[in-house]
Formats: sequence, C-alpha cells, structure tokens
Amino acid sequence: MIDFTPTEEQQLLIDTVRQFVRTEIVPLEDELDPDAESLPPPERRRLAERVEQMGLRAWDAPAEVGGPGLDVVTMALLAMEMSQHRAGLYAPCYGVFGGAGLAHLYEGTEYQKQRYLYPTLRGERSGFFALSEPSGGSDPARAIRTTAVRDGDDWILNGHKLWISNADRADYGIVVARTAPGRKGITSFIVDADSPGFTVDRIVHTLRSAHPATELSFDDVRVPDRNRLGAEGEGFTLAAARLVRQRIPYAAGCVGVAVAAHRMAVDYAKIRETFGKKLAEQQGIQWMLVDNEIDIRTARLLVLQAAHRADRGEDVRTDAAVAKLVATEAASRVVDRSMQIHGGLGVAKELPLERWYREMRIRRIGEGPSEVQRLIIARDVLGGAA
Amino acid sequence: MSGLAIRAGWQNLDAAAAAALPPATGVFEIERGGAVTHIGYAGARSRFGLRGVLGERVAEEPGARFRAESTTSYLSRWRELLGAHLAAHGALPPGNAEEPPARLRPIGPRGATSR
Repeated sequence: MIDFTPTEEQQLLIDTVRQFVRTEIVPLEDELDPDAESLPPPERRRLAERVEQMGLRAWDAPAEVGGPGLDVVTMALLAMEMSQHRAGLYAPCYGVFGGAGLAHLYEGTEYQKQRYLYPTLRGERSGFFALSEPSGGSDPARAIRTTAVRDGDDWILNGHKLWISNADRADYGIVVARTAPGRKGITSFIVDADSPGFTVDRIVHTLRSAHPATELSFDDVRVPDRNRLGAEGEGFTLAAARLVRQRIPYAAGCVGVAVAAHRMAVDYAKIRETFGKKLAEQQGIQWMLVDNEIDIRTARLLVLQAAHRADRGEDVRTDAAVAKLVATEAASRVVDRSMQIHGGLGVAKELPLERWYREMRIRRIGEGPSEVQRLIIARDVLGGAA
Repeated sequence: MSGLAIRAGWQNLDAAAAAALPPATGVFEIERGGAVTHIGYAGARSRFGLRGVLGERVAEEPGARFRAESTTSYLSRWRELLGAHLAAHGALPPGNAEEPPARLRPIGPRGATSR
C-alpha cells in the first residue's frame, strides 16, 4: 500500500504555494474581470519575483534545464494547490510560476533549447503546440493532413490546425505535420510565428475564458531543417509521450478546483438557512457533500498513483488515462454539486463556480476526451485484443 | 470586410442609441473620421453592460460612431478584434495603444481591412 502522506519537504512546498494562492492570487481576483486570464503587468512582475525568491520559477522543469527538478508526485501536489482560484484551471496563478508547458523541447537540440526552451522558461517567449486539425484531434495519427515536404535544407509546411491554444500570443509553435504516409510518417517542427505564410485565422470562442483556442493556416511556410524536433517520422511518438505526461498535471489541476469548490460548498452549507435549518443539517445536502468528498479522494489517489509510477519510470499510459478520466469527471460532478448547493448565487459571476463549471466541461474533452481514455484503458484490460 | 469584424452596422454614438443597447456583456468599436479609434468591451463587472459602458462614452466622444456585439466571450472577442486590427493596419487603434493586451499578435490576413 502506497502512503501518499506528503513528506516534510513536500508539505513545506504545499504550504508555501497554498499561502501564495490565498494571500496573493485570490485577493487580486476580487479586482480583476471574472474572466481575466492575465494580471496587470506590475502585479505580474511583482509576483514573478516572489516566485523566483521561493525557488519555484519554471516549477515543472527538470534541474538540467534550470528548473527545480521536482518529482512528478510533488508536481501533482503543487498543481492541486496552484489551481485553487477562479482562473486556476486554465491559468493557474496566471502563469507567474512559469514553466515551459512544452515538454518536448527538453528533447530538442542545443540550438533549439537556446533559441526556444530557455527563453520560454525565463518567461521571455511563449509557444503553442499544434496537433489537432479540422479533420480530427482524437486520432491524430490518421487525421493529420498538414504536410511538410523537404526542399533542400528546409521543409515547406502547408495545411490547417484547429483548437490550438495560445497561438494568438505565441512567438513560436511546435507543429506536427505529415512527412510520409502512415503512423510513422509524422514529424514535429518548431515554427516561428513571424514566418511568412503562417496565419492565426481566428480565435475560436468557447466556454473557456483563458488562453482561447485558435485556428491556424500554413501556406508554404518555410522551416529550416534545424527546427525539426526529433527524428523524421518520430513526431507521433513525441506527441503521444507529451500527451501522456501532460495528463497527470492536467488531472491534478482538476482535483485542486474540486477541492476549492467543495470547500466553498461546505462553508456555505454551514451558514445558509432554509426552512428554519442550516443547509448542512439537511440530509439531501449532506449526501451531496459526502459524494463530493468521495469523488475528490478517489481522484486524488489515482492522480498520485499515476504520478508515483511515472516517478518510478514505469509506462504510465493506462495510469495517466485512468487519472485523467476519473479526475475530470469527478471534478465536474463536484463543481456541479457545489453550484447546486449555492443555488442562484452559484451561477452568478460573483463567485468562481460559474467559471469553473464552464471550463471544467472542457477538461473532459481536452488532452484526449473521456472516450479516448477509455479506449486506452480497454487496450490494457484486453491485452491488445481491443 | 474581414470575416472577423463586428457585423452590426455603424451608428451615431448618442444617448438614444446607447440606451437601445442590451444591458449585456459584449464588445464595441468607436470610429471617428473613418478610422477606428478604440476597441473596447463591457465586462461582467460593468454596470448595465454595453448600454452602460457606451452610455458613459456619449459625452466623451461627440460626433463619433460605434458598432457593438453582445457576447459572453467578451475578452477573447476583444482580443480577436484587436488582433484583426493589428493585422489590417499594422498598429492598434490610438485608444488601445497605451494598454494593449499581453503578447498580442496579428489575427487574420495581413493588410485585410477590418471594416
């Protein structure tokens, strides 16, 4: 039986981040627009300096590229803290903890690290990851139509991408394109956003308030071969590895929001009276709160188990799928129940529940929808027969 | 006209036109002499949404015209309109130049009119 009680060092980090969120981020949100995705520049600079002093700048990066080198369990525990505020699902702490968010760059060449990774970790540049296309996102190996054709020392990219976060503000992007037929004909490229022929066509307005999705066009975009990320034909492997890794912190962020929503529901149930009794004294409400508690405990354990196995170097495809599936669905239920307990106040923009409710819905689709996670788990359960 | 532009027609910015707007969140553009001078939004903290925000501008913007669009995605739509203006004109409207959103890039085809 694995004991996930935080170590002394983990607890210190948790307390530090928790205090930061409660004393720095949450009070700022009382002044910001309820849909804000960024902080005013002076506040951002001040908080980024505080994070630097805490030693947590580029918090999710390994030590060899200048990050604190945290293990995956500790990162999951911190992700559960960083998301406990209004914008926490898609803009945890408004990005002041930094981090690359584009882990494939860790496997880039030294040129690629110098030009893209390190400036990103310092917060000077930002990137996007472009995999999904109008032809589909859940089965990228088959759906990718964007082509990259070799032309001397360059590649020429043509095609369209859809649902790409951050491209409206990025300096570069990692673009997955087809260089040959079949699953092994996929290659990744780093494309500068000012490349001729690259266009952000539009923002796709969704339920999400932060870092909106975009639609992109590549019209004879010339990319030097030195910007090829990984070997030719390895793009799908790189993308798949990134998706697996990303699912653990993605799930952890959902658990954090569920914890915050549940805390609000418990507090409200203790003070709100109906029919001469506190909500907390009514069995119907008690059961909703108990279901919240069970959902949170279940999701937290599965996220930490996946993180623990990742730390042991095990193949976590199935564990990450289970964690992502359970955490996103459990957190959706928790936010929904917490909103219900708040009644009309729950759907108003005065409280963060409204934003969590909208943005949490996307979590069951983003980074591989629930159905794809079930396919991954089914393959494991059936031993390749599925 | 770029496909990203606000579809509503231009109207004179006066008290009657502002009062006819919905008390809802949304985005708007202000134009003077044929050029967009400001792209703004009425967010969830505004009083009476587009009606209130544009109503307050009537006295500040004599002779101006406006067009508006009601949307709950006011921040991403605002960003998109600014990005489209940047792509079309190479610069933000003067009323937005001092406080542009972070890391804004052009959106839509370069040199296309957003009018």
